[in-house]
Amino acid sequence: MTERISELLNEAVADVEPATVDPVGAVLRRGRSARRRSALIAAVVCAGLTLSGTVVGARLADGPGVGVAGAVPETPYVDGRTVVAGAVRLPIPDGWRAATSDQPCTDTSRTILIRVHDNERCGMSAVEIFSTPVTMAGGRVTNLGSHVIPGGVVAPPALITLQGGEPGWLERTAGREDVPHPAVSLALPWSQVKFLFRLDSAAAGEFIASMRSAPVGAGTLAVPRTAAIADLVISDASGGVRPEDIGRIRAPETIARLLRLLREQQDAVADAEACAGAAQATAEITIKAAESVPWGTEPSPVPGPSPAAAPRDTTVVVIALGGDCQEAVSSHGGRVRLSAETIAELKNVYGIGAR
Amino acid sequence: MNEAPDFAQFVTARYPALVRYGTLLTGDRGHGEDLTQESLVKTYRAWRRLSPDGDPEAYTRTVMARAAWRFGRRLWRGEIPAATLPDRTAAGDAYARHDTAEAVLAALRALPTGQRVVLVLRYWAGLSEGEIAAQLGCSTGTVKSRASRAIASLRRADGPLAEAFAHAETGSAR
Repeated sequence: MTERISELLNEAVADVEPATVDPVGAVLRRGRSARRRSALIAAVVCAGLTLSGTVVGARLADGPGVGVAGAVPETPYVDGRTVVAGAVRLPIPDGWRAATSDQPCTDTSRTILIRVHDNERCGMSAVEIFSTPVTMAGGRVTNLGSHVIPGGVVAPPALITLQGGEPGWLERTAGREDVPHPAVSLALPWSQVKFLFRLDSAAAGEFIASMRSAPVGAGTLAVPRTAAIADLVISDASGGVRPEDIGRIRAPETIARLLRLLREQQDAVADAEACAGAAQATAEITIKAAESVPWGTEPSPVPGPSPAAAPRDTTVVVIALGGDCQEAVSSHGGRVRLSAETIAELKNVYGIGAR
Repeated sequence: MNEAPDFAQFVTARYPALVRYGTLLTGDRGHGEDLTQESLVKTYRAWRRLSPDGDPEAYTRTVMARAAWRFGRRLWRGEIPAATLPDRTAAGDAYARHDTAEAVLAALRALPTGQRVVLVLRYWAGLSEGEIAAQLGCSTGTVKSRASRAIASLRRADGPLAEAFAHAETGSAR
């Protein structure tokens, strides 16, 4: 019976030939046409751009697949007066220069430094760019006495949206404005690159607001099929984490429930409609294939759509909470809009749904 | 940036096969090619992220299946292809194969979108129920029920494929 169905399906398309003589040209023309439409919408909605890089836009009706992040980190490079890092372009301000870390240091206070592997020169440049898998956002360690996650947790970052739609995880710096050597860290999980701004928040914000990213298209969250452990940490908009907002799950059925919940979210967010901003509270879910991955050594192999977990693989999902822009972004690709019910269900999975 | 030539090679090599896949997912040649091109636009945008170690064909097929699953005919603004079934001809005739193909596509078009996509993924792409569920972001129970209903519809005694199934069952009984 099943063989007959397969035969019939094969027979149905055996003689099907494309009508398009030049498929490459047809696809590229479609792409350019869609890009023009997106650019028009972006031009309209960019009026809502704030210093944090937030873009507010109308929703597009577009069909998503599972989001896909970069295959391997690519070394950033300089293209004229622009630094290209993954899908993001950072204009070099007048009076500044960009250099790689194997070049002589000059005026580090106005240098955008591209870190070259195995070279640690010019380590105090005002802006540094690291090409690296992003499996943790980095930030202030808090709740050292947590009974749920011994040793404390790293406060979740803010989820922001660069012009063009690329999501960024911005370390929260509230309460640290007056430190002698301010620094702001921005991780771009899809482009697999991190920026470190040894600047105050306002100056770092100007750099971030000037970044432009290339559209990658909407996709649902790429999460592994299985995992050994998954942590949830929720922070308010200033980075504060309450002890009761920390969760950890290990039971296979609970892990499966979490992954299913994330995978089933279908409201993929197109680049032009992404709206997450630094003023929102956030939740960070860290999903690990193995529990004993050493701190900071998690690789992030790029999966195909809906990947199976590989040993030592880690996936991070950051969710902007509250308001009418509740978005989740996976480090492995994909961004979806979440309902209040989904957030409640997420908390319920971790047993913190009653609050 | 040499991504365009690589992408062109990929499209040139795999476009006919992808159009056949799209035809089955939609039940229509034109819509199948439309779906293929729309999905390849997404592949093009993701190309730098997919190469050199990614699998652009798997990515494209996933985009196609999910687009067909989510949007069905809405993707094509409600346009429904005409279901013109040619007259039956004698078995072994050069036109018989064409007739069967048309009948199968008509039967696919008659199925609800979800049933059609699951049927194609299960019996043409050869995916397991679990793999289909993962690809479409639904439960295996949904996959099972849609596949079961699709088969039941195709086998209906008064359906367009009744004759094809009857031939198969007669043949297997011999």
